[in-house]
Amino acid sequence: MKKKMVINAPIAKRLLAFIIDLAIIDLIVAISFQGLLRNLVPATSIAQTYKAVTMGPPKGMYAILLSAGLIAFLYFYIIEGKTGQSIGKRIMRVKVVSQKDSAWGHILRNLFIIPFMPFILLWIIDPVFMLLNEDNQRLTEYLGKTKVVEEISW
Amino acid sequence: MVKQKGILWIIGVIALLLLFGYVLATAIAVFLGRGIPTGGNIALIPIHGVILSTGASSPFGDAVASSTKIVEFIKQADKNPSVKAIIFDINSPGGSGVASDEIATAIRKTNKTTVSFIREVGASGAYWVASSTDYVLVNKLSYTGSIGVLASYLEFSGLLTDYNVTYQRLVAGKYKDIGTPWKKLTDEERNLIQEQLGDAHEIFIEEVAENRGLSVEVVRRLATGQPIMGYRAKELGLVDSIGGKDEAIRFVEEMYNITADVAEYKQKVTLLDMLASVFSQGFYRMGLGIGYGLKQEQPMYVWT
Repeated sequence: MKKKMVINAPIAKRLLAFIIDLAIIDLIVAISFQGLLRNLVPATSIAQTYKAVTMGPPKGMYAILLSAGLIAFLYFYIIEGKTGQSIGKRIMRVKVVSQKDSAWGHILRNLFIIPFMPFILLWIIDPVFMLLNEDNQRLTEYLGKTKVVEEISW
Repeated sequence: MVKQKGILWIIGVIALLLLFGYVLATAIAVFLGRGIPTGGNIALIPIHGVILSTGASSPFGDAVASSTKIVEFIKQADKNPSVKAIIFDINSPGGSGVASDEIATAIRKTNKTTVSFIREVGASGAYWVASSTDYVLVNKLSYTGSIGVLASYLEFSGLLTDYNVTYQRLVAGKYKDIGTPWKKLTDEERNLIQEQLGDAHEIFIEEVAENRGLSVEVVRRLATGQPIMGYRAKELGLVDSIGGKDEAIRFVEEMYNITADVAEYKQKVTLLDMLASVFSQGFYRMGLGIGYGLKQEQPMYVWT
């Protein structure tokens, strides 16, 4: 008879899951915004793109960034909120659990994805907090009373 | 079964997010309206319609080539390190002298090679712009030249008299209402306007002479205001070559030994631009009255 145990998901697995999710979100944004991006960003070479971007962000880039952030936020909020697992988490066999299942908890845990101040600060605060937290929780997970776990069986 | 439902549901959410993304992208594009690409090694800037300082084409009016937007396009193309040359696609009867000069000045200031090709019409102010580029192509049947200025307008003083309407003249400064269609133009006023037109004409002649490397006397002889067909313009030295867009692109390719990647700098009209243009044209015509609202009649407006 198999035994099961729930443990805190290792940081490495969480990171891989996040990279997978980020790739999916980038694909969604790239497909949706391809027409607009083609006009704003040159496709000739990376060097030309760098030069064009450093001339100053093209008008509309902030709107695109905000839209990408909104899409990313909705991706995590809807999918994790409903099933507990984003696609990346599903692949890495980890999932989100909540001490008290509330929408607020899911909103809080996904605030880091918004690409503007002050939420950008979470890109530093969250990982540092995670390293110091015994349950591998990010700060926003701790505040929202959610965490990511792994179910192992042997 | 639960797992399958979960996967189908996730696919559905992804599809909805894609749709949401398209909606957002469309909304941004509509409100942006800007047509300044950052790619390409040849910038193609169309100059279509009457050349004015501001304004946008509306679906209910004439095409307008806004010098404000065109100058902005030229500056952006000039700043873009990947752009080797700027090609101007000209199909315009001319327009405001100020607007034409603004574009011509911006072209002369750029560090890039500039090429223009004239399609059906590239006359007057549009020819002024074309002449300021490094290389001018024209279709043999194009109309170009028309080196002259005009400020003609319809005068309605007789009509007012017929309908027993009086123009009450109240001015401080005796030439303040010069060119108003509600009174006869005096000889003194006519001479004043004619003198200014002469000055504007002379500036136009000198600009073209300098741009084309011709003597002022030669250009002055050609500057009767008559439109000149493309093949004749080539013989007279007003343009460089017979050709169109393909030839203009090939010229740049051969000059820089590149394969052309043309990026068109479109004067995109946003929804707000169109609405503003419709309303502003409406109010403009109402405000000036019937006589002013007639097409191409602009009292005291120097047209090239």
